[in-house]
Amino acid sequence: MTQEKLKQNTSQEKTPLCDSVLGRIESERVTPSSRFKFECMNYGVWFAWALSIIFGAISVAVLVYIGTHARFALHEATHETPISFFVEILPYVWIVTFAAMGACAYFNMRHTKCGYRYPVWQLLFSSVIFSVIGGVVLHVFGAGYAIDTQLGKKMPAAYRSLENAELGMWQSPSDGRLLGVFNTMDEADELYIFVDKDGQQWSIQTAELRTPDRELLSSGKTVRVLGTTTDTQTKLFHACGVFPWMYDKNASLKDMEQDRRVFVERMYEHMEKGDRLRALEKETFKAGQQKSFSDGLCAEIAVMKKMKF
Amino acid sequence: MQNDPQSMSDEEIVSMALRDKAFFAHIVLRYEDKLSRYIMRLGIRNAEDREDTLQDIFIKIYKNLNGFDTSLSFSSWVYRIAHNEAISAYRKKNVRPEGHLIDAGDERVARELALADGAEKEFDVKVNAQEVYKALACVDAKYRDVLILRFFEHKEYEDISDILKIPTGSVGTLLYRGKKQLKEKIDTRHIHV
Repeated sequence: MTQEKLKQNTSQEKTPLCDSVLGRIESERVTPSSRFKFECMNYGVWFAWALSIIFGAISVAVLVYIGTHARFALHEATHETPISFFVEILPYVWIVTFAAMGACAYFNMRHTKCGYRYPVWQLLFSSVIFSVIGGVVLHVFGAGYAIDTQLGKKMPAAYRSLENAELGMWQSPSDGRLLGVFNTMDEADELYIFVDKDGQQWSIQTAELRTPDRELLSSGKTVRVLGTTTDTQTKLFHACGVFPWMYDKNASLKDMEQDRRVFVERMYEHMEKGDRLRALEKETFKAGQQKSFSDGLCAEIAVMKKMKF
Repeated sequence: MQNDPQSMSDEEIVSMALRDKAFFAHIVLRYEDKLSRYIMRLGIRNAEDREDTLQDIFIKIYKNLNGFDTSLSFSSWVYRIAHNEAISAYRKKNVRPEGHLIDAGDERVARELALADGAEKEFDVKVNAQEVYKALACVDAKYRDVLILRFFEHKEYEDISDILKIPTGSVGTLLYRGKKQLKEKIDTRHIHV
């Protein structure tokens, strides 16, 4: 009854515009779009926002993983300067992905029902914060390592993982770096037979290694050997330090920190030893005479010069 | 439910219009004059164009009734649609919008606007409202929209934020800058106010 009265009221008050609008609604069979359509659009925007946050979080997880490893990397052994190491290791793909996802998250958030009410910085900041928190959580669960490593394995041509990058840096015999595993022992010559990542067999002299380094070398695990190639034809390598291969999902921050500390210690030991030997040579041999101490090769490797500065 | 549609809220009429399109006439009746003035202020001066645009606005409102966000006021939502349709209309015509005085009340508003903050300078001569409005038409669109909604449509900051889909904080900034720019335009046009 009430609705009928209202309808009557309306028809009495109608204006030409009112008639034309209702007429168009009738003639063009205009109907209100379904609530479901609007709900879908609204949820769609939130879904797109969530996807941006998830991909942003994945980028952060990989960035944190790479950043953590880079912090403890033995860059003095592989690069001229920390900057050149940084430039080589910088995960450009993930930085761009993170920035793009941040922009996507902002765009989607802005297009939610109430997104326009908030200033740009609040929308950007909230999106970035969600990605960062998500990324750190993912990293804690090993997602950064898994994603980076798996991408490197599944599509090596398109993606260079940190592990592959380090592999390239450490498998370089001409620069005094080897990556591989111990094979057998040459008891007669006290040489460790070692097979590098390229399948080459090397005889490793361990005169300047400390006992823990020798133990690590003979453990059968993948290791990094820093030293100098003394004979390229017979593949003789003089080792100055042996370091574990850190690209294992179980490698902890503590392990990485310890690895770097050992590296620095070893290098300084060789440096001091070199200084002592040089002083002794000066005392023992007259000028122009052939030096006969073959034990101080490690003090002459390139990394020592870098560490002196 | 009340018998008098005047005393019913917009939201009540919307829910009735969703069940029976005849009730949509109440929405048209309520907003016809307001929206007509608004789109005229936005620059649709030709009566026929205005009539067409108004029809399009109401058809769009009807089509999107289910999308009305109840966190907004219905009025803001209607003004948002009107604003967007008005912009589309003059984009279609490819004509630069020019503001236009509607009635005697607008002259008073234009005078107030010319004397508002940001145009603090003492004006010792009679306000020429028509000229002020011409200056308003030269102000950047982003400022003009806010100035029109605030001074001619008497909308609150939150409503302006909802209509133009901008942060509430930006409304104040745009108003301040808009008034400042308006003053500059008035000065460059040598309008004696």
